[in-house]
Amino acid sequence: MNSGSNNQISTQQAVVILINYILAAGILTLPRTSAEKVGTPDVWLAVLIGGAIAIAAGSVMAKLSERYPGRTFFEYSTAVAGKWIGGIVSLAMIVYFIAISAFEVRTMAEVTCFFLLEGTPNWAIVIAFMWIGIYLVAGGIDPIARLFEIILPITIIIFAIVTLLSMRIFDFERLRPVLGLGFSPVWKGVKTTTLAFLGPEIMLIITAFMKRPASAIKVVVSGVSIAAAFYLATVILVIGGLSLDGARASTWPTIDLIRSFELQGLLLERFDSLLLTIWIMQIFSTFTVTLYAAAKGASDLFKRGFKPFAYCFLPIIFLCAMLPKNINETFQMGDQIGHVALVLFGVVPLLFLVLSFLRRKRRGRR
Amino acid sequence: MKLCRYAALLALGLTAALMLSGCWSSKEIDRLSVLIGVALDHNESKNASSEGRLAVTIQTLTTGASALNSQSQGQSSVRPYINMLATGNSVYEAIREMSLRTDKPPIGHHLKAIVVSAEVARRNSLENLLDFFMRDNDIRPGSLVFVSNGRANRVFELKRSEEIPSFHMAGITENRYRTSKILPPTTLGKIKGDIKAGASLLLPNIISQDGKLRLSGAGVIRGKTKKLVGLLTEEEVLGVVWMTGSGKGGVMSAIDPSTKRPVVYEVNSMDSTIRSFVSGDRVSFKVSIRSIGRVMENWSRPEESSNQQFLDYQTRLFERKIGDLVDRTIEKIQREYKTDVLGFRDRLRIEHPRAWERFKSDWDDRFAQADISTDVKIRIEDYGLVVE
Repeated sequence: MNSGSNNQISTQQAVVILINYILAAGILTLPRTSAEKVGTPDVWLAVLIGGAIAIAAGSVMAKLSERYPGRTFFEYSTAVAGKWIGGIVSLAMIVYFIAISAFEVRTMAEVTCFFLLEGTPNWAIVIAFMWIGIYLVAGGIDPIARLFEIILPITIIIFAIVTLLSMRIFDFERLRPVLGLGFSPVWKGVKTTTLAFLGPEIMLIITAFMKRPASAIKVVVSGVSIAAAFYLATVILVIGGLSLDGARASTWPTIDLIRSFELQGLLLERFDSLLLTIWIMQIFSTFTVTLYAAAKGASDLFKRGFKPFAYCFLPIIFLCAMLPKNINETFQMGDQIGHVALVLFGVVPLLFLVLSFLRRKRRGRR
Repeated sequence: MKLCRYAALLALGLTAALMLSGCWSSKEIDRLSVLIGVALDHNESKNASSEGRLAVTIQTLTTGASALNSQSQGQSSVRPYINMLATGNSVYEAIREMSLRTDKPPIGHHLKAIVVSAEVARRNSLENLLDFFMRDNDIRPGSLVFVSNGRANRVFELKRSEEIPSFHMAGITENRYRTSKILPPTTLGKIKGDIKAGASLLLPNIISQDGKLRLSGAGVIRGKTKKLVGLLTEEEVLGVVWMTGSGKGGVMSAIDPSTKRPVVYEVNSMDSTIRSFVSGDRVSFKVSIRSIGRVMENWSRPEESSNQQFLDYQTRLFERKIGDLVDRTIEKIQREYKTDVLGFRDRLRIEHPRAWERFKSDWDDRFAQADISTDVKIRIEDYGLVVE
């Protein structure tokens, strides 16, 4: 019944899952949120630093999981920190995965309603989206990995085409001066950009399925780096195309950038729907991964079947997604989830890792 | 049990068939009117206080059945567009007012031109006037914004009925490779960035002359108030284009003082570099303009067309002409409008970011005091197909 636990994924598949998980709502909003905080065109530096931090935090989690081959965090957490603390942390992570799942679904609905399907009710879009998601998740990690392997190349190709086309309104001067006001503005944006890299926490789970768990850190480094390349390109092109203040003033700056130019003579004149298509695929992948993580976590923690949990979480996610009353509350929800994540995946895994070292040492001495 | 399963499957299939067949909020294209232009005027009627201060004219394409009918009747005089006027205190309010008069809701995806009358731009902040256009989800940031000296909706009425004014306007701005009297396109997206940055900007001025469109000079919008402070003539726009090096082509004629007859220089490329210098609270700029081109008309001394001495003489002639033009333009913008529409702010921001932090709150005033020196160098590469 515990579907997926026997499936194994290759290192490459793990990288693909990680990238698809990281890339989500951030592609459309990161230029704005980071430009707001940084206030100078040095936003791209903040993105680089954010990526480095994500690699560090991800490596800790990968290292931790590596020590317990074949077991997910939810299985070994009690062994590391005892029944109570391990259980509570696991529970918190399950809640987190549900929350982020709900947030992604909501952002998807928000953008789709505004730009693509004006007039279609939110719930109609969300429900269709979630049903397809559960169909995938019910199959376990292997189908997820296989689908993501299809999604990622499509994302990369379309993203490259669309963003390169935006070079026609790109002005390098808008990215200057570099570090004109020193390094302090960059630091202000680091938290925002780090939060855009939420995703390496999936290593706590997928390391258990990897054929070679020893390469978990390699997965983190390459996965986060590729995602960072996406974000870097987005931020540079949006600020170079719309100017810092233009990016700051747009709700969805990346869509604005693509909407700002039209090409005649090419097959298509307008490219925003292409961008939204790959973006929805990315949200879908993030949604399915988090749903899978939540259900897998619950099933490992309570030693019950995987599928019932996955089906149970679906209505919960739907309700959570409908909680924010407006777009401001939606963005706030994202911020709050981010803050929780900083503690849950920045600090906690490090403590667990230290604890796990201590335990093994003691056991060794005995 | 098996029956149950089949029943469930059947229900699911039926629901899916219902959900997947057809679009939730589809609208037939011939039931829509395509919005292509909007003109904002001041409402001059006596009841303006009750009707609203803005007079908004929207231009829509006649689509589908109506256009076909007019063709089948063989009337070439039928215009392919409709103008509608409504009043209101806000733009959106006025546009929605049209729904009382037409059965076809306008869609904004193809909005090409927004024309703001100089009168309205003088009284209202551009940020307020364009707010609706920047927020709407259909209207694209690529739409062009113009000012019009005179009533804005006059440019929506052309003498030649088969020509669509909004498209025509957008088309004229693409002639930048033929004349340097056209500014780089002022799109909604670019204006959004400028407005939010508090930067001053120029908007091309479109007017109607004997029922024909003409791009004539530009309106100056001050960054602080976001209101129109004045207009630049065509000559001055030419000066702005040369100063910023933003031209893609065009010609420059000069009178040869020795013969009192014209020679004409055709621009192949132009470029300008601005250097900024800060000492204490004083700011100064050095503008270097470079251009390469050819002599394409020579009334002055045709017999010396290929003579190197004469070419050098002409080079200096054109350099002086361009330099004078640019200096006059800067002088006018600095003294009369005291508004930096020439992009000096960006140079300072990039080259002296810390000084810029001090200056940015009252930049336009400081710009008016700045010392600006110019230096023009051109190179005549060839002289066409006539040799002497």
